[in-house]
Amino acid sequence: MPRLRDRHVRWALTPIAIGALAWPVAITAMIAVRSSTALAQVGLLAFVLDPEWAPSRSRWLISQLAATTVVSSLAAIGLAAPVSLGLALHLRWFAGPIPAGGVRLVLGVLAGVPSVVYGLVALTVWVPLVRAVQPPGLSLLAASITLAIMITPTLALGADAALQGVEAGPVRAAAALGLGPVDTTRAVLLPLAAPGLRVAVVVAITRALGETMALLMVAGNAVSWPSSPFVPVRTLTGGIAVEMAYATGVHRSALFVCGLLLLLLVSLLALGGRR
Amino acid sequence: MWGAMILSWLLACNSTSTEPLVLAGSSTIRPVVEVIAEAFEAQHPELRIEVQGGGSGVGVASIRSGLAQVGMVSRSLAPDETELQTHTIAYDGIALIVHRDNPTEGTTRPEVVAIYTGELRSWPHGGAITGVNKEEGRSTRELFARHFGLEGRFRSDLVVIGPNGQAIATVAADPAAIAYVSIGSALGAVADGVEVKLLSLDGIEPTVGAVASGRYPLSRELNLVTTSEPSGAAADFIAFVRSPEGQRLVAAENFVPIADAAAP
Repeated sequence: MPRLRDRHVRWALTPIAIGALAWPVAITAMIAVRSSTALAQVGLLAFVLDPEWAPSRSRWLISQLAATTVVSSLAAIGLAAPVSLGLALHLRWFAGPIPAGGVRLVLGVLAGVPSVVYGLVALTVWVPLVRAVQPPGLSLLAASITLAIMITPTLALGADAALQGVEAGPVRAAAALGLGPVDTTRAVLLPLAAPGLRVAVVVAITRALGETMALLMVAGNAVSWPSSPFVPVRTLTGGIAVEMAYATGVHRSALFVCGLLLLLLVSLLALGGRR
Repeated sequence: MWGAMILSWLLACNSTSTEPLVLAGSSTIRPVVEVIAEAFEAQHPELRIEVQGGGSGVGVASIRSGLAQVGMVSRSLAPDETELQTHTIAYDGIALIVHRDNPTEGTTRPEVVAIYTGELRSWPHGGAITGVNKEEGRSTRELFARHFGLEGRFRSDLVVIGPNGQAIATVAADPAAIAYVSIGSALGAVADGVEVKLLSLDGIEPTVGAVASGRYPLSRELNLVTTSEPSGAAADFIAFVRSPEGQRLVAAENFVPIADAAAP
């Protein structure tokens, strides 16, 4: 028989848990309802078959925005993953406990820096660099670099946690067999840490997919296919942020379809990333 | 005790805050209205005025939804907006701007069309052109596109920006860029030392005088817009903007006062 106090706590916490469950359902339902106008009047096919995304002329190629979102996020992961894994491996094998603690602290701070700050840095550093190679500089490449820098701290901390979560036994056994850090990492550490690493990547991609402000500042926001690193592009989130201000009617509803699509992408990732 | 504190706080709020007069819309009109609002508030300390941007489209949407009492729209009303009332406060033009280091001094209608459709991709002095376009829902874009017959023909890789200030900043940062902005905003930026310059269009310099006389080919009216006959603070403010004192501030911001404009 649980004590009275414990029962009270349970009564107090249960509604919160139910709320946590109901909240995402409510959000999804709300976005779905708002999307329905566009889904009914425009239809799913138009979102992938129209010639372009140009709401003022009733052209609704959402896949153009979605492709940019996916490509920029994947490029960012491609850039950030080797650096992050390298950082985590260095912390695991070579950094002493005090420097490692310092690095983790700094990564934690960097992971919390507001994205608009990364956007400002990108506008003054990365965009001119890209422009020097090929104008206009505001481009898919600048956006991907910005995203990569934003997600590296999160990804490195996630990878570090995944490596630390590996049981000591197999690693000691590898050491007892005379394996050095390189062989132990390849044969023991990475395979055992793989599920944790996958979660870290999923968390990082999720952040990249949803990022809005920094991309608005550096991506150039032209509605075009991500056909070259140097073209200005518009993401799903950028489209919502820019166009929601003046969109009405079907256009407004189509932006909710963009939101629904983002929700779908993130949910699929979350399911795929489960341990 | 808490109850008493909350109650006194609520009462305090109630006694000091009057509903602010909210204006929203065009980024062309916003700076001049902010200056005029400051002067108006100085004369009417009991009133508060909030000025928000977003573009003319936002202005129309905000008064329709009741988020703002007065919309700022830097064009005449569209056929589906005729139920609204306009109160013209000034005239302005749209100028093409480039970086100050760009040797180009002027452009022509066929050149502008060629640049924005993608037929002309490099400067006569060399280097690729960075074309800057405005976001849809901005009246500067609608007027520019209509004047040059560009809607639906814009090349797809133009950098897209929002308010006038962003266009000016983008051009100031990129010596190869060209953009189109409000003449009043551009002249203000040049006066502030921003590294941009205005191009003549078909041989006519974009000056306040050329807009006033109607010689400059690409001009427009700046309007305050309401859903019905304005009353109270909104009516007072609109009258103040159109008064000699408000119009002096309009001229100081490089726009054409209503009295100076040749019959448009």
